[in-house]
Amino acid sequence: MTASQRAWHRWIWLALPPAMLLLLAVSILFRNGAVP
Amino acid sequence: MSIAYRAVQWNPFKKRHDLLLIAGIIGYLSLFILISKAVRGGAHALSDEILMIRALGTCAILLLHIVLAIGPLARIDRRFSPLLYNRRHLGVAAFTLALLHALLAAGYYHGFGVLSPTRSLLISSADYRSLSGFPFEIPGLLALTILFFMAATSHDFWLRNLTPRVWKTLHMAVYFAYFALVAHVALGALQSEPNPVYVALIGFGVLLVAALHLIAGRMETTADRKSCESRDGWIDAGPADAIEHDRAKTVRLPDRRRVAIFREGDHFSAIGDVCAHQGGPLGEGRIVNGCVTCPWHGYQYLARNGQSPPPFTERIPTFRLKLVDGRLWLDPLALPPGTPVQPVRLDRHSSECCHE
Repeated sequence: MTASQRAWHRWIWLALPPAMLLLLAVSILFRNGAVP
Repeated sequence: MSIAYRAVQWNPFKKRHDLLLIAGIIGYLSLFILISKAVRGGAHALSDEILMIRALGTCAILLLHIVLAIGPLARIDRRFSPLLYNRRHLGVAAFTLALLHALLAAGYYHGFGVLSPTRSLLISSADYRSLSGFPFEIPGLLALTILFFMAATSHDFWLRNLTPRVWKTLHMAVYFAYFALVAHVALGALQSEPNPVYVALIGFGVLLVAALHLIAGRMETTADRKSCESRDGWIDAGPADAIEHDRAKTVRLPDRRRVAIFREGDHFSAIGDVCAHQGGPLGEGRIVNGCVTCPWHGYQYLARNGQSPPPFTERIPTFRLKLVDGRLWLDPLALPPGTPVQPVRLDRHSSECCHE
């Protein structure tokens, strides 16, 4: 990969994990409209 | 590598890999259906169509996780590098399974009404204010569309015509496809499926893939930070003896480009780290039959001139090296791709620089 692609790759993987975990947590905690 | 157009450059490794892949997919689908039938019997039994929809969907997700894990695994441990060689076939297989999952689901859940299956799929459950009513099909369709473009352009024909830089940028969209797929599962299956195993599996998958990427990224950042003292415009690349035979040390330049310094016997040569084929990290490859061999797809170059051996025509930049007191010094000025540079030789008696 070029230097700029490597930089993009790092930023993507710094942002993706918290976004996905947040999405999973919200979807489970508020399943079927339930508020924990 | 090939100088003539071939639909697929089959070789024994690829044939074995693909046979194993097909056997694995068939085995997974069969096991999923058999176990589901055994676990959910009687009044809770699911129809064969639903089981097949779930089996295809989960198999596609599993394959996508494997595809995403191979890259960082190969950077963490070289022994995983051979898996990179045929990764595109895994990606195309994941897309095919996802497409079958989508077609079967659209037909089964939306094929028997007055609306067309596509229209019904897009508008029938659109309650954006509710998690359980959210149209989870939309992120699924987005992921499928991205995977389609990736599968359709996976051939080297597109790689050559789009240029490796554009092609690789396009294929980095797989991360957004992955996010969309996680959203599809979280807003779809996890809303209706009470079994905690599904939550545990997708959570584990996300954590594993994320952890592997973060560990590999951390290792690269640490290695990059070690570089490098500079003197009179030359960069200190460390002791020559520290480089393994037929392997390379990767040095990061101040402008963030990387250079791979290869050792062949007691000779050292420096070339650009980016493979002309698909941007693979040449510094993670090794010398095979006298040629630097890219760990991704086996593209080869002569270390002394950055040229692929005839009849191939790929060229990469070369760099000048010098040896002083057993340490390698690198000129960061890249020479035009394919420029011959005399390798420097380590003289074991005097530890001095010798150009041949």
